[in-house]
Amino acid sequence: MTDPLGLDPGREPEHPSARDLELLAFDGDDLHRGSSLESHVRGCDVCRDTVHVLRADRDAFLVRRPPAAFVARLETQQSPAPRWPFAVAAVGLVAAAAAVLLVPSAPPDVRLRGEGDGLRVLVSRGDGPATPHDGRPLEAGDILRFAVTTDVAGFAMIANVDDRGRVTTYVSSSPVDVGRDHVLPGSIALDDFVGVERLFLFVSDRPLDASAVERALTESYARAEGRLDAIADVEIDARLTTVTIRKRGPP
Amino acid sequence: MDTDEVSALYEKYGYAVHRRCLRLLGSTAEADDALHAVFLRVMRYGDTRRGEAPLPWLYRIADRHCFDVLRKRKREASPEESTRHLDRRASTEPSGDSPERASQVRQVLGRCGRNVQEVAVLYYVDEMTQEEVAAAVGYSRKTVRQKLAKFLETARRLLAEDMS
Repeated sequence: MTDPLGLDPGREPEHPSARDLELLAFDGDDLHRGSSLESHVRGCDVCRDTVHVLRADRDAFLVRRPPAAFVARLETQQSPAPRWPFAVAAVGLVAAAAAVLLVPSAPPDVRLRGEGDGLRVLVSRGDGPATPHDGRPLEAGDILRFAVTTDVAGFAMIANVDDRGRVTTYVSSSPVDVGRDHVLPGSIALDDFVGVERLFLFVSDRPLDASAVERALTESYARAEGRLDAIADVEIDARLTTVTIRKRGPP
Repeated sequence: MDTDEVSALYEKYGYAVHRRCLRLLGSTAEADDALHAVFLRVMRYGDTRRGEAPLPWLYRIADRHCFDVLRKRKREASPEESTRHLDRRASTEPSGDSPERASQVRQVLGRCGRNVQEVAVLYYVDEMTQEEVAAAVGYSRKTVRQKLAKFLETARRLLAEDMS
């Protein structure tokens, strides 16, 4: 059977299969005690090393992605999510000629990849404290900060695309821990831009390159032919969550 | 399945499932998605496992999810584009293959039927012999050979399309 891809099943006849080594590594020794597999691995440096590396890699994986956080996220996906999980903030809103409306159609409104890291936008006005936004109109000059919930210890970055296709990094690649509401460094002050913007949260287990992210968003916007809501394929290897911002013009 | 049981399964096998999905899909983000999809299924339907060994059972769920993803994928980015998006520190795939080779294999897998996909993965990824593959999926050895031949025929056809 000729093989145009040059694939090689890779198994030396005297060694167990990759599947069997994984079974031994991850099932644990007890399940395979006394077996021919365990006996071979005990006497074979190569296979013993393979099992050792698999177990070490698993231990490292579980440090970055602990079971409690992972299962907690599964549980939230088991039950229907509220439209917006936060209580209405008692913020004294003032009608403004130009206001920003933060409208999450669902928090977040689109999950392009990943089942949803959480992105919470915190709003402060004047000297007031930052409060989680619940979708009510905001004002130009409001200060936004971003709280991320994730089950991966790694890095988060936030970028923005407006409906003219301008891409802006709001928060550069910043370390995040597993858990809820990790507030990212920095903040942005809303300008008087009128239109639609989309915030994109990227989460990765490696640092994110802002120029690569901005380039990918620019290309996605172009492929979507200028339609913000049609951005669906951002070529960055990271988990992606997005929220839409709408700004109302004067009445 | 209750959360304690799911947590115990994840602690033992979560890495193995993620590693396998990463190898099949070539993308950390998609492997993350796949890991969640697998364990969500475990949480919902895990009580139907009926004594099957846990890791082969999890691999079966993962494989089927990944096969669906591969089939839905549009033409995967060319090897040059694929390598641009890969972490530059990782010059090889988890399997040790070059990114270009791994990308080609994924394209071929995405074009095959479910039965061929299953056999190809057991043979090339899990390094099972044809007899072991036959026992795992319930086919005769002759059928396994035919499925592998079909996989290679698809590979030849795709390579010929790429070159023309």
